[in-house]
Amino acid sequence: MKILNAICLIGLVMSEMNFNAVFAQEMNANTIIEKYDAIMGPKSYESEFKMTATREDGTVRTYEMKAIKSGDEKFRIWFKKPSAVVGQEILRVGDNSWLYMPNLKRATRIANRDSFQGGDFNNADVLRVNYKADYNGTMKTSDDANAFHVELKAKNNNTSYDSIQIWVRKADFMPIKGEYYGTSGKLLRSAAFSDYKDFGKGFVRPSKIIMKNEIVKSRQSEMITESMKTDVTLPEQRFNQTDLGK
Amino acid sequence: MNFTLLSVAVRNVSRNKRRSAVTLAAIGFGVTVVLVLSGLKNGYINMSIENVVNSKIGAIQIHLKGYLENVAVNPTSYHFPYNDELKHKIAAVPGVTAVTGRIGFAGIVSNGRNQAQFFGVGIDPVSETLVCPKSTANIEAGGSPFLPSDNAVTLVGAELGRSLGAAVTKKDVSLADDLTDSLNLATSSPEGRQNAIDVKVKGLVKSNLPIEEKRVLTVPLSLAQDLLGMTGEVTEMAISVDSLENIDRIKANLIAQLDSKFEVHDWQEILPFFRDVLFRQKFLMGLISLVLLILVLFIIVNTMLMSVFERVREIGTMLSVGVKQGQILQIFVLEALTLGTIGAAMGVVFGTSLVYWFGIKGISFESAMGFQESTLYTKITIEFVIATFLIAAVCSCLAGLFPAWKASRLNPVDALRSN
Repeated sequence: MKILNAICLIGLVMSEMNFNAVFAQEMNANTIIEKYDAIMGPKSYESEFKMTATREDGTVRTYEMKAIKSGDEKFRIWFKKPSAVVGQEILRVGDNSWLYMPNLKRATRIANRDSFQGGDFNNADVLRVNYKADYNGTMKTSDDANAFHVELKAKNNNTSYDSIQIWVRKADFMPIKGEYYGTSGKLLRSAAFSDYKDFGKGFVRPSKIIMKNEIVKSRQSEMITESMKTDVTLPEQRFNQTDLGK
Repeated sequence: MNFTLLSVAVRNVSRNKRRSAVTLAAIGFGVTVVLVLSGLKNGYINMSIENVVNSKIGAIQIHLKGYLENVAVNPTSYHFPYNDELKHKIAAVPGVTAVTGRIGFAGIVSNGRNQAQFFGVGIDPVSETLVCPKSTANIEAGGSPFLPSDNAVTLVGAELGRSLGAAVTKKDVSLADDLTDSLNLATSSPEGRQNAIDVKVKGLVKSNLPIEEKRVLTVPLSLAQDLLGMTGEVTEMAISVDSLENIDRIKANLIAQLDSKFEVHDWQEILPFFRDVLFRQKFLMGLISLVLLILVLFIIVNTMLMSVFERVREIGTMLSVGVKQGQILQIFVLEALTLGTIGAAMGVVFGTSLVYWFGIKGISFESAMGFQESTLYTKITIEFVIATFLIAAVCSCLAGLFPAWKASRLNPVDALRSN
């Protein structure tokens, strides 16, 4: 009987340990995702950035824009350059996004999956950086001793990728690279993060993201953050459809 | 009706063999031409319809309500389960000969260097050929249709394929550097999930519509479902029918049988521009037929006029021996009626035989159209034959009336003296 008790106890302790280990791992992956979200998509900010898209025919186009974000659900962009897109605006509220065309004086719905200004980022990549809400994370053994490797699996069918692999620096959780996969398991895009920069008040993040198209290898887009002011208070009416074009 | 006059008229006709032969030939030829042209017109329209219906769309299509209106914006959100229950329900409607499911979707195709937008059609390789027997006829040499077990393969619109350097691998020939037998198809699920799959090129497909050659890409249904995350779902059911003439009845039956969430459309509603093109062609060919008919009538009138004016002295003789004006008029009208009836009958016999002959044998159009083997089967309606016969006979009669009336009013002395 004593032996049986002992075995039970050992079993209990072991399962407890096991549970703890799993819990610790989950915590870890989720913490990393939270850190990633905090770096790549702070709660509220005002930012200027530019995107340079290299297309397969060798043409290069640079777009300059200003963006504001308030909470997880509200985002707005004004395009500044080139002249072809001046006056265009994008607004996201929750799951809906609109592109405002100044010549039509009208906003049309755009989908998360659509390409952002014909580049290799899709709209969700730019407008919706909230991996915690959309994906479940699992720790993976990293091939880089200085980096955590987390696999993100979509929580539902509405996310634009089926799974994402991200690598972040162990020291400060700065993203290093990302890989984005479709349902078939095919690698669609890969991102490289670099040029880590302090944007003020100690807020550091990579100022350069190179998104490579892994299907059409000659395509890639580069996103450069020129300024980013976090913890700003933004007027609510900026995130209203009626404000577009004003 | 005076039978003496009729017998005189018939004897007059048979007496002058040359003149009668010329008149009969004119009427007969005219009627033949009108009938054959109508046969060709009907055959051509039918060929065009069948080419489209049998090689692409099917006679009737079923979608969820709202699909046709929104297909350009959002082709994949109107999907429904592709199951045996639905298939059997549709197949049970009298006149339906085959049913198949499809998915229409949009995406980006690339060869690793370039990319292009495409409109994709996922087809069930087994039942597609039952609904559209000609669907595989447009594959260029070297390509082959889908096998039931195929998944990661595609048939590409010829121009789209060529611009991407797509080619079909042959076992013994290695591909040139700038050609590829593999393409990547990328699209997103209706919910917005991105996906991409590499597929083998099974062939290039020709089309008479440039937009199809440039933009359309066909894949097996199973691949479309994998790519779009739409397992077991389709966006379209295509149906073939026993005869296009029954299409309205079959359509009404389908609407009555199916759940109200479905919409049922025939080929005319699916391809309104094609219907309009056909309508214009019909109108144009109808106009040509009308012009031809008028020309033919003039030939008949002319021949009749000449044959009466040739006989002015004969009329003078008849008048001088005491035949009354009315009787002369009657004789000439009866002659014209005899000639018109016999000539038109000859034309009908000859014309319908030709139409019937080419209706069975067919006229091959493969080289003329350049892209697809098509055979024109001439066809004519009995109503049209009867109408043509009556018009020809009555017009011949009317054509004889005027010169006969004029001749009967002549002064016998003048008539006798005329040359």
